[in-house]
Amino acid sequence: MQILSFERVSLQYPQGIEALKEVSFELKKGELFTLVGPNGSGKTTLLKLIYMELFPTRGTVRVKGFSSSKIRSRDIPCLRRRLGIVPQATELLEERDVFENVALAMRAVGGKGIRRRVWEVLSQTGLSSRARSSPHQLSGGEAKRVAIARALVNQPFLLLADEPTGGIDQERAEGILSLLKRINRQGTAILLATQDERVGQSLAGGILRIAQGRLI
Amino acid sequence: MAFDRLYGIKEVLFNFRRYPARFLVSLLTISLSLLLLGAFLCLTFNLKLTLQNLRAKVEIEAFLKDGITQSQMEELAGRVRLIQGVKDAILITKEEALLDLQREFGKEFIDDLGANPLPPSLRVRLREGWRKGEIVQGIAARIDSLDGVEDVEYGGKWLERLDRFVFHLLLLDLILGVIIGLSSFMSVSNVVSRTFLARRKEVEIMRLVGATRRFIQRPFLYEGLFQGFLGGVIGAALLYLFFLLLSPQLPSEAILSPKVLGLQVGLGLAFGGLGGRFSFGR
Repeated sequence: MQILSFERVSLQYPQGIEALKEVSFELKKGELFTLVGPNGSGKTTLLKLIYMELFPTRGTVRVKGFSSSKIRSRDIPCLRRRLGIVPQATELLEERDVFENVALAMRAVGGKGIRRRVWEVLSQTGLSSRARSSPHQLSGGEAKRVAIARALVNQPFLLLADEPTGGIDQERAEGILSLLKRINRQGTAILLATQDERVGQSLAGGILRIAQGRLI
Repeated sequence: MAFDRLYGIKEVLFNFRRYPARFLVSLLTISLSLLLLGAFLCLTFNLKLTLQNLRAKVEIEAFLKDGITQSQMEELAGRVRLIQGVKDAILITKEEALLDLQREFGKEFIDDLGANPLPPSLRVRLREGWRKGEIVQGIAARIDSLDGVEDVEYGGKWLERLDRFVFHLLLLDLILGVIIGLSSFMSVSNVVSRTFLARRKEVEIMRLVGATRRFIQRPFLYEGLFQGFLGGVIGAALLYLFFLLLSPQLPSEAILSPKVLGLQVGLGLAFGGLGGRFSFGR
């Protein structure tokens, strides 16, 4: 069952820069894909098109029942509630502890059974013992795990992770990748963007290569 | 919706506990802005009151013909009272006019006059809203045309000058009001916007996880309303305090109306709420 498709998608910024050119691909339920490309190749732009932070200037992006050409702005939150987004910058709120950072994502959508679900996802991501820690007390790898836990807490069908292993050492990066593999095995589709070719090989899913806005 | 509201209120309280210094600085800025606005409103209110009192003194004096009988005078007073805009017409006989003069200049002066040279008259008081130059002139002309009236006097030049003065004063007051009102609004709105900018990261996260615009906006709106309200209350309390302290130096007629204090709180609430909305829009 197809959950994501790009149909000849191009995106040109108002300054005339073409960030994506004729990109087409699709993702099925439970699949894992790594989007590999150098800095500025269009990886983050492509992810932003999926959660409709950006819209294509040509072509259509479809995510489950949502289409970029038809979606109304008031429906975008509905789409995002069903996605899990791990942004490139981890973006944790310093004044809230780990538990509250994760719980915020559920509170924001009026989720029920917050306490139980947050503990569940903290345990899944290996953060149970850090629940009451402040973000500044965490290592880079732990902070990434919190961002993943926050993205997972609303049980998304697709997890979008932008450079989840960026800026952390090899050992911790491997820990993150094995966590993502586990999440994928439990049924969540994943699209991961990275500059590191080895990440794609380690995840053993499909690989999409991107350069200068084109899939190659 | 109820969940949204509860969450909004919880977030406001959480933020006050989390950033007490920022909250106090914001509150102080808002309070001072609203104090300035309140002081201006108080000044305007007193100005309006003074002008009202001045206008209340506007009256028409109709001098009656010599030889007019008492019953003719009373009939004339009755006809004057029927004219639109007239509040009352008081009959002043020759004798009463003389007594008035005596009170003012003394008995010797009256004795020097010999016979009573003063005519009987009608002192005509006007209703509020009917005391402006052209209107008074119109009423005076109607009274002048009545049988038995010799002449009318209503201080036309003085009234003209008063009208001109009031017009310029109100224009100046309006311009100042707009400037002070706008600067108060910008100041309150700016404080609320700064709170919003400080929490931009939180907003970004909320957007990413699919929170609706209304849900994200609500805590900022509540915070703006709360800060504006509290700033208004503190501003009103400060104004009241300053008024009490300065009252020995102020004219005895000066008052601090509860309306001004209420308006201060109301504007604080409105500015805070609008500031919250605008900062989110930006």
